Amino acid sequence: MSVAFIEGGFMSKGKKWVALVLAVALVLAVALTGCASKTDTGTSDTTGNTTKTVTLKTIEPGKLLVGSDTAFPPFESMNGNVAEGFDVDLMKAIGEKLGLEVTFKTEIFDTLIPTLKAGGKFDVIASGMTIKPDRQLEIDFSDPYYDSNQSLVMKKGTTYTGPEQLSGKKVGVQSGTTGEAWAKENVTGATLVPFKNATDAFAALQAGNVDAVVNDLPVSTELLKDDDRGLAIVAQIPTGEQYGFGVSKDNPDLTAAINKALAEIKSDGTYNDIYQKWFGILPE
Amino acid sequence: MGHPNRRRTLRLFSLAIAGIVLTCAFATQAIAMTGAKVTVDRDTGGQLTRFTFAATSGQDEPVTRIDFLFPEGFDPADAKVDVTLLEGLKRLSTSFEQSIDPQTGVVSVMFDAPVPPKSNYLIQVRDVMTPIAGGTYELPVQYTVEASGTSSPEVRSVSGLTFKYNTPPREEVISRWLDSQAWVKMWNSVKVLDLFLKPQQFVRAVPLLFAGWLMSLSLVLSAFPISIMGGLGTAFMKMSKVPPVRWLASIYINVIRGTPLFLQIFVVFIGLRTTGLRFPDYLSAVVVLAFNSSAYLAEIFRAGIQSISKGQFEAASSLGMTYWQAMRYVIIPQTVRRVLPTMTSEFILLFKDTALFAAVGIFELMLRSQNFVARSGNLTAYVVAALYYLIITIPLINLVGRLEYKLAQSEHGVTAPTGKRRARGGVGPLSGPDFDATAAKHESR
Repeated sequence: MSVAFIEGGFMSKGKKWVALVLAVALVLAVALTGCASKTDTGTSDTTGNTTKTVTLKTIEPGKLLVGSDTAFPPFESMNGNVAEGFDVDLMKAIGEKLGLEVTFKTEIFDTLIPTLKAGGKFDVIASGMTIKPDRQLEIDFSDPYYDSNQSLVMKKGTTYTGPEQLSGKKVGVQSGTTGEAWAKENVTGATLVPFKNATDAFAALQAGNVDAVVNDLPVSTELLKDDDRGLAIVAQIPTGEQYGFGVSKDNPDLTAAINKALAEIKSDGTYNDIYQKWFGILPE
Repeated sequence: MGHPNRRRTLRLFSLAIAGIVLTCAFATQAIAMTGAKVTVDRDTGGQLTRFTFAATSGQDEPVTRIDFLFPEGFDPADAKVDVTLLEGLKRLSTSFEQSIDPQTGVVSVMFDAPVPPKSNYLIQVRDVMTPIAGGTYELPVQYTVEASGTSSPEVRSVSGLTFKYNTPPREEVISRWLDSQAWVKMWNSVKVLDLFLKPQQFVRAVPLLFAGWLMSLSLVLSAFPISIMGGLGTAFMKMSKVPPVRWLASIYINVIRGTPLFLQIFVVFIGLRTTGLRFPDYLSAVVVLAFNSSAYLAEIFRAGIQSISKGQFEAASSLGMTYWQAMRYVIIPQTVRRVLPTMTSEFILLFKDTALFAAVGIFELMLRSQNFVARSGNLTAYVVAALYYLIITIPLINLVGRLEYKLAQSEHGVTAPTGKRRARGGVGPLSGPDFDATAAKHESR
């Protein structure tokens, strides 16, 4: 708006430019000092040691901001504008142990890691994310909190004989997931169609835009649970992958604290309660 | 088909063959691992690669050790091994030791306790350097079955496990060369530069996104001519003297302009297809774009036509011209000139809007860059995509500016306000109420 005002014409050309540069400089200055003060308060807090009262470095003091692809039930999904699910409850329980208020922020799955690395938006990733060596190069992971596998979903009534059957077909995957990596390595000759979340991939399968979808087994099970979409899990793919919470490599204290809280939750039964709430059974 | 007798002998023969094969299979398969396969995570050679071995052990196979005999040219010296064992879908805990013989290229996994029979094995051998030349290679695997009672430990082998990759293309080679350069390391040590302008990723993204750029361009180039016709037709319908025709055009224009293009795309790509009505992806995309753009162009054309003063019509009809003759020879030629800048703007918008097709799996510029970012965890591909969009839009934005300037000069004989930057605002002589409305709605599409 200020630009339009300047363009209004009562300033000379030279003055216009000076004003513009000044305005930009002002905005930058405000933004930079804003950031700086935030990090200052953060670092000054990390003086605590192994004793219980370690003040954790988070983006907003007293809060734990969690990045999540909230279209992945039963791990995380949006109920209205409130996030709910296994990961959400688990994270809240962890937040309680850490004395931090947990807030979920929705983010596309494949941008979670770059965003966490860039910093400033959320402290933790809780998004049914598998602990993988190539991801571990980018970020740290907490201890595993859930064992998962992959699944292949096709139209109901399709007989599936093996990955060769998908050669020349279109296979829908969620972008950046282990399902995508599995399909890339194991389904040769198929075109992989990446979607931004699992629900979009299933919608495309239902519409016939793709011939199959590779997705995490518990999520496929949940999505195909009771609504009659004409889709079925045709193969369970044992991958034995494990989900973990992602934390920036710059914040090892937080990773340690989450691991500690996770262990406590597992031993005091909270984990089992949450597990039973979302999966209907107790963990083995 | 054949002679009945011959057919019978043939069938007998094939039965016998099948029998032999089956007994052979039984003899070996019963004790061997099943469903064994090896996959690699890279498409090209000459780089650190992850090998994944998947198999299920037989009923009588408590395995204590697995050896991977990497062929000549593969260097597993710095390899790391991950083991995942499952019973069905349930993950088993495991402990093992790995040993690597760099001379022979053998990577061994020794389990602390024998793995129960009928387990699913997923063994990843990471960071194995592969030879640069592509092709199909075989990875022989041997495994040791624990001694049971009378028999001693037995070494069994799985052969025929092949994998393949290609020789890296030129950009890949350049990118790897960049990896080793000192200035690249310096450059990448700045977080922002590393995230948005990583030279290695840049080199990779440019050729990869080119196909997407062509796709976006071809979508809009196919759709735009159709929407010009559609727009013109709709404009005349909207100006028609017959009320129902006018209403129809109004409804169409308002519905299309009043809903997001994103929604329209989903209606065609998901909605219609769920009901069984489906066209090829490309055709559907062109139709949605043309349908959408027609509504905007219709308003642009209508406003353009109506901005020509009524006097011209009167003058034309006083010369004995019919309505359509006046249109054809007097009004339209003037309209074209006036409408050209706004039309070009519409083209720019439409070109940018092709990005929305990423959501329905059309491999245009946006989807390709998203994929690239997802795979690399680096945002450089977005910058490359931006450059590809700008190659088209910047010259056109310039063109709009110049067209407006010329138009203003010819109509008013005055200098237009520094036009380029205000392409969306008042469009010189056309800035009647209609035009502002059209332009304003555009931006929020």
